[in-house]
Amino acid sequence: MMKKQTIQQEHVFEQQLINISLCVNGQEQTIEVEATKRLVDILREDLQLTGTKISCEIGRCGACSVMMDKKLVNACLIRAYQVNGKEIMTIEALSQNGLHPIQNAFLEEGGFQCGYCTPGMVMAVKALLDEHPAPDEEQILQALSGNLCRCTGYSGIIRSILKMK
Amino acid sequence: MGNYTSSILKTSRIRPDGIEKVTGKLSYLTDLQIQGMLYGKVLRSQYPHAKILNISVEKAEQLPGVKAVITSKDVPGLNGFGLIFPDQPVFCDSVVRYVGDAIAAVAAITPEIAEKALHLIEVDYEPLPVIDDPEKALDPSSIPLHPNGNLLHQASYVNGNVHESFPHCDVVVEETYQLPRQMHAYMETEGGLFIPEEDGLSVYAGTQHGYKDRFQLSRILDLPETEIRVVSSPMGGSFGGKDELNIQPYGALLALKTGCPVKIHQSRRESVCAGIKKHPMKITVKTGATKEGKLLAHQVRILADTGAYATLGPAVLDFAVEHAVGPYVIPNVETHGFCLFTNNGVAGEFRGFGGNQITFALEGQIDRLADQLGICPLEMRKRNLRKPTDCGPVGQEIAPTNGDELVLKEIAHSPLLKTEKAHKQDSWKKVGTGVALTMHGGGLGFGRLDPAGGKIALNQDGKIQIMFGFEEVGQGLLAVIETLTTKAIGCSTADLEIVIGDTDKAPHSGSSTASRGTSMVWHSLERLKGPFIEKLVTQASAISDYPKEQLVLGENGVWLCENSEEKLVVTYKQLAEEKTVSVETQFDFPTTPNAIPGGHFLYSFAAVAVKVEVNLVTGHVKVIDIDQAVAAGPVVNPIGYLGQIEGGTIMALGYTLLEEAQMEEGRYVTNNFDSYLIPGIQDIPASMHVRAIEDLWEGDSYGPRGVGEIGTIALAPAIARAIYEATGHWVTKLPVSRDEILQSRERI
Amino acid sequence: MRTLETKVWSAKDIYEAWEIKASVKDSSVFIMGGTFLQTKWENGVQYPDHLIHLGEIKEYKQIYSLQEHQVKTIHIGAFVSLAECHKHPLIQNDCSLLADSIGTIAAPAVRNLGTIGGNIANRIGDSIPALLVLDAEVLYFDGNEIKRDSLENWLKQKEDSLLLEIIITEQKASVQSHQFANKVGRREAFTASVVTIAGRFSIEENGVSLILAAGGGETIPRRLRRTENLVNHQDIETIPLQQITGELIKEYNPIADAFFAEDYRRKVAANLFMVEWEKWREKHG
Repeated sequence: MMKKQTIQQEHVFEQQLINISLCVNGQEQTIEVEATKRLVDILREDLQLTGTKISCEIGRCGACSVMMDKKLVNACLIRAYQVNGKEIMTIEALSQNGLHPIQNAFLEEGGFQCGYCTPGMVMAVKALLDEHPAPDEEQILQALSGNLCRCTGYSGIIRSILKMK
Repeated sequence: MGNYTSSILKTSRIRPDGIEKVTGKLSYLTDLQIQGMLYGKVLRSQYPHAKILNISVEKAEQLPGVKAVITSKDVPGLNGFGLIFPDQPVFCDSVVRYVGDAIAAVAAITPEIAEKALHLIEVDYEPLPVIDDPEKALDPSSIPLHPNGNLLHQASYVNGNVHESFPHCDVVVEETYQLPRQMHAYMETEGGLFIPEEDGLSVYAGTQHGYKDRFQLSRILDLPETEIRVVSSPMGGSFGGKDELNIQPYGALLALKTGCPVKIHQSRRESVCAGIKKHPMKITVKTGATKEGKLLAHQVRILADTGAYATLGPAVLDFAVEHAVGPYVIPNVETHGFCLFTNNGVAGEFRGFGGNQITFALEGQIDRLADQLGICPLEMRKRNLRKPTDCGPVGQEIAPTNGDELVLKEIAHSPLLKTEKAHKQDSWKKVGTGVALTMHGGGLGFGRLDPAGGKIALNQDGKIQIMFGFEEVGQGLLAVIETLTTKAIGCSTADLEIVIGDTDKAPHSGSSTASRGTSMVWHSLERLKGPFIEKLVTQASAISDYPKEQLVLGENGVWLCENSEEKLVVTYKQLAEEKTVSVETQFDFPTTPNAIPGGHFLYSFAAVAVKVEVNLVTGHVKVIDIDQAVAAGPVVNPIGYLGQIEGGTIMALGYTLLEEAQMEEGRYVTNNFDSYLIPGIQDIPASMHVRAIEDLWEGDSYGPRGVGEIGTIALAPAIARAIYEATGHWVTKLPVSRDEILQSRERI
Repeated sequence: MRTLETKVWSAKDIYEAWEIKASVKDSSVFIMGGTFLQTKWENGVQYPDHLIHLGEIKEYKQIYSLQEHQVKTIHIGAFVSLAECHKHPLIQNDCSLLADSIGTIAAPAVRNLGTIGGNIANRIGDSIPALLVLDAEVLYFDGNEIKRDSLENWLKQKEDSLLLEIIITEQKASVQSHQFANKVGRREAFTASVVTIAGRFSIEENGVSLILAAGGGETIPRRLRRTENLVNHQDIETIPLQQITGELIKEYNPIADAFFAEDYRRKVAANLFMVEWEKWREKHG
């Protein structure tokens, strides 16, 4: 019964702020945010990392793909309470020491056009190559199945990956 | 897999915007953030058709954190917008005509507060009957959605007499084709940042025609155009979908009302609900031919569902009517098109511009006739093809071209047409092939304001600035400008600074639409290069004392080019220190001289061969190979050209097999990418080949044509024909119904 | 949708999670990966006032095997991600049917977040038909005690419970068996299911044996017992195939949506069954 009352009192506050620590692109960050704020908004608004894009907000396009503890995830599906202590890598980390081979391949083979899906797509390719350095057909198609691109028809993207083999 | 090839020589340069895009460093206009900015949200209608009895915003205004709530009362100028007629209210206050109609907008200190405030706005509606079908809209007893009734536009073309000639035909085919409401599905939804300035307003929001937005906003805001700056580039895709105004009026009004910068970025759900789509069309066609396969008569009725407001509905219908006979010579033609208002989502500009729909019907007729006559589909097309110097499809004078003949000849060699069709492994999978041809007009056409132009300057820093009012929507315009300018002028990429998509900095170039960008950049440079080079070499000659005839522009400056001697005479920087130089040009996109509304003069062509595999267990159609030939003049930027064709083709694959923005009683059923499915990486064929035919008809001085649309047109009818070959079932409705395919098998 | 008002609770064990749920008056939901719920909320389903996060619970996050009464059982913690589940050697080797089914759920990034428990708890998850064919059991907490029951029974329950573990008992080796799990979506991949049908044919001492389950879309997957009964104990050569597919069409009761009618789904389920039957016959003469 005691608990119930506490809950009701707390519920008066509209937003529940929590402190989270996370490592983003190698930098430790401690921030106070709303518990249900989405990772994509934390990255774009609190940390000014706008390379991670917003498009469908339900995990059905891959534009916000980032790595969390070295695994590809949709930043729109993750909320602040889930990222405490996690290691996040965004597109911005990839070119910290010059262009990444994936980025060079995309440039040379037309792996993008409008570029809006590109950061997420590049992260998905990174996740693929981390797991399978020389991916076969099935692995490429599986790995990129969650990333939509409306411009290229995917052929330029596949050419880019094949070029890296 | 991954057999994605082309005949285009790959000498591509890396796109000027490439590095920023692959690294995520490019700031799209929806990425912009500024200290103290507010977040805007728009309240859309709860009903597809209703009277508004009352709007009460008090509760929303009282919510802490809300800085402004605006309605129609807060529009200082015209409460309306629209590219042709401004018939769409910025804010509705008496009646709503579709679910995307705006009623109010809110600016608040956080997006969550803005969202919450929307729920506190009270609107009393009196629902009205919903017109969700254009046939219903045509019915005289239907409630008129606009003062002039429900018929937005009617267009016709009549030549000869179809009624007299049908009896002379050996075979007549009659069919009704139904084409779906496709969504552009650009990955970046509409949005941007609106900043009040001392002398007006800056608008950073994606659009395909910044100057047109400025004009429309000036009418709404009652502000002189010169006090509005529109920065409209870059964009995360548009495909025609962002040419009309979307969130700009709301951002602008909220910024001016609050005196604070305002950011709006629509959610996907909001984008689906408010955004324009491709016109659903119902096309009834009767076509007759002789037993030799000569087309004699073609009668077409087009019914287009334009939704609640006009936007470019009339122009899309005109385009469909114009392209009703495509590249074929048919002596008797009668085409009537009707564009109807309904309470469905607004339809407007979409890559292909009516060409996709009408070509599906036309090519479907040719295939059915060929089948009944026992003539090879390629041969049937060849027998009826126009001659290079023939008129255009509505009897208008056009630039002579044999592009249709060339693409048809080229595609006839496609290896996929010669492959073994019997499927060896699975008895429940059937393979078929199909071919289709199309002809597509570029530019807006006769009678439409279609100005173009550009400007080139040597600025104070010694940079050669090339300026266009166009936008980079992803199509690769920057690469086209860079390629064409360095080639025309002779300077290097490093000497060049490209300025686009900014009404304060770039001249009028017209809209980034209708496959006109590449073409207009080329035309502009044809006009700019002579005077600009002349000015620079004259200046260099004065400084250096070399005769100007021996001077050329090159890397870093003006070079002496005499016999075998080549040396840098004066750098651009040195020239600029003496005097800056600029040359500007304005002209119109070439149109036919004949007074036919929307009649085109320049056309491009494509022929597509496709191979499909039909799964008789599920009815699922899988495209396994696509080969296509495109004739659109010289290739400017190979990687961009290929990307436009391949990307357009897969968008067309989605149109044919997957995509429909379904509505039930005026409400979207498909609200996001979980229900509106666009092709994913596993939906594309394992093999695609693009053949570019660069030859133009002798004496053609119009240069490269754009290829933004041509890759999206002919795939659908080719797939339909391939399905017929595989199953014996003629598809008449897109997207292809798996259920229909299974049912057709039961009938056999 | 951006909602910040919701209160998030983090439970350290299932008892606390249950206690929190019981103590909050307003709407609440247990949440783990949250991938399915986010889609529902964005689609207009009311966002709950309380989220009870299960991510901090240390148990039920692993996959292991046990010997129970001389048979091997595989235990999958409900809080194991779909991706982990998919590539775990025990699942790959001993429950390939489940592994294959999980491979068709959403896309890799979503599978890294979503859990097997979440996929089952939403009652329409794509892993369920395969699990039904594997005769899976579940361990769940009903607020009072931890119980074990068949997944089939658990799916029929109306009361709230918290799924803890999925238990699969290793099948007896059968030389002439053929198992399948087919998902037909609207697109090749990254799509909800229209029809999912899973099954296992084998020859037992007393004739043919079939286990068959079907779901898809909003249809809650279930065993098709009547169809199974028509097949079971029959002689393989004299099986009345038409009668069986006829029964399947009657028994499978799919829910239509804006894209596919019931009839289509029934037809496809029957066709898929036929194809698998043929495959089995080809494999084993």
